[in-house]
Amino acid sequence: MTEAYLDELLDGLVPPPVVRADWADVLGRARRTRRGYAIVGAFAAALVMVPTAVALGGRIAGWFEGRPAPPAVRQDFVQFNAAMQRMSAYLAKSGFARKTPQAIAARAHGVLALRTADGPVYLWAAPRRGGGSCWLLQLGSLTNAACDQTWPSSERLTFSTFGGTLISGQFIYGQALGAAASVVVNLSDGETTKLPVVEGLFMGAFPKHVHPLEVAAYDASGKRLVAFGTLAGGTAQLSPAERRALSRVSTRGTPYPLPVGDPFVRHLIAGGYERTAVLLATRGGRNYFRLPLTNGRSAFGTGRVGLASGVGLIVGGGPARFPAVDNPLLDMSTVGATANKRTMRFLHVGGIAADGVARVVVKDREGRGLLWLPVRDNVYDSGTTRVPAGAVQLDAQDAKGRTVARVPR
Amino acid sequence: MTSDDLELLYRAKLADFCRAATAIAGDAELGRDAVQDAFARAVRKRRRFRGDGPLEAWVWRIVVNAARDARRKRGVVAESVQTEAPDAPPGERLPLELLTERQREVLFLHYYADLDYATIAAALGISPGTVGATLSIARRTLRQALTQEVAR
Repeated sequence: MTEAYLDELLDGLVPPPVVRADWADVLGRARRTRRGYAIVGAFAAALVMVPTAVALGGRIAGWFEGRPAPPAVRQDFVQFNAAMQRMSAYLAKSGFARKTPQAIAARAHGVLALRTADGPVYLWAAPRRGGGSCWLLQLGSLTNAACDQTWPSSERLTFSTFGGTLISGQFIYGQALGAAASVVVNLSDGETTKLPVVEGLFMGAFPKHVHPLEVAAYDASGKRLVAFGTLAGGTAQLSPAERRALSRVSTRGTPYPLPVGDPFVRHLIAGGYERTAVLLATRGGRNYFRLPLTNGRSAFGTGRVGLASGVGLIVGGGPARFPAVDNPLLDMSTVGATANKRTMRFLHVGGIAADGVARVVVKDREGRGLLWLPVRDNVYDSGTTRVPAGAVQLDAQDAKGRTVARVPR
Repeated sequence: MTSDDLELLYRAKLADFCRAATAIAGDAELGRDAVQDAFARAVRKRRRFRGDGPLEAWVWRIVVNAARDARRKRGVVAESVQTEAPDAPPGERLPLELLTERQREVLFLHYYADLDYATIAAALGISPGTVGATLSIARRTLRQALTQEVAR
């Protein structure tokens, strides 16, 4: 009789269970016993009652993980899918072959709820077709959806911020995979917010006048897994001139009247774009544009030279500010799956960079530089140069060689 | 200590808690339910945690008590555990009935939750030295019983 045999029998007696975390149930049990009332089954009532007051860096949040999404939210995911399909069609016409993600709307469910001065904010999730997940941030009738990009790192961290003129604060939300149990956000006002990771997703709120300096994921034991920051020591180390350089695109470009007869251009004009774009530069057979909006903001775009609509891919123009000291790169690269379909890699690299970005370095998974692309006229592009296999990351560097932004975040 | 800390522990170690609680309660459903109840108790009583020991040990103590309660309410003797695993063939069954309750709990916490002696001691309210001795006796008892079974 060996110890190993005994271990084997013990192992077989109670196999490792497959269990799904249900913290909302824990909180519900805690409340039921204390207050002696039952949770109302209706979803609307549950949203009001289930989010338990739990302080998160001064903000009040709650969880409603696993609750089925109401029809309106499932419909939002359906509309997101339709938008993605339209984008896919535009990309294909523009020569940017890229399969856009699709959410399985029928399986949408709640993940996190946050109480804010603007009302409750909900983060919903739905599985992504083919693996991964999609998520949707909802504040009243405002929604913002995104999907897992299946980047190769097992400790991936991606995030977005969401705000607008109708919202008194800002929200940060994103995905932290691997062993991530919490995400810590260091803000420019010196505050730090710790957010729990639920189903690989997190969400938090912060005031409008600040921005995140660093977002870092930690495991349950407090080990720092991965971080994204504008600079290792924060943007505070930058001089005022350097900060300004990361916050502007000064290339004046040349006026480029858009072909108003093109259906896509008509769609753009109807959506609030000016009829005349600004051609910043042409690189590697692609035109890069600034696209003024009638509301005074600008988006940026690109399209192959000779494309009927002129512009095929549009990025920016939303509430996330570009160029900004914490957002000096607007990447428009084309990514695709590797041969084994398990990871994504860059096929073509290009986009718009702020004045303070001197070069974009294409890196592999280990952080080794594969390709160095200079920024000229606020544009970088790999042109006809073949992007080496294994290219999974872009680092934007300033003239001193400091990394000021990273893609994917 | 806040609910956040408890939630992080819950999410990080849920499988370990459920496995050990299943072994103590004698049933997978009871074990899972005991873990949920135990964390609910921990949330309610979190202000009583004085911080003079690790949070995890404090929670384990609550989980063990909840699993014991569940087993006693059901009247289940933890000589067999109802899980979804296929039944072990005759001759390969662990004779857990030969162990005392404390020996079983020490064995389960050590094996299924991979806890060190100090945490087991804090969870069960005994000394780390007693944990080592109890574990040794439990394993020896099982080894001897299984050896005799094979010899027959």
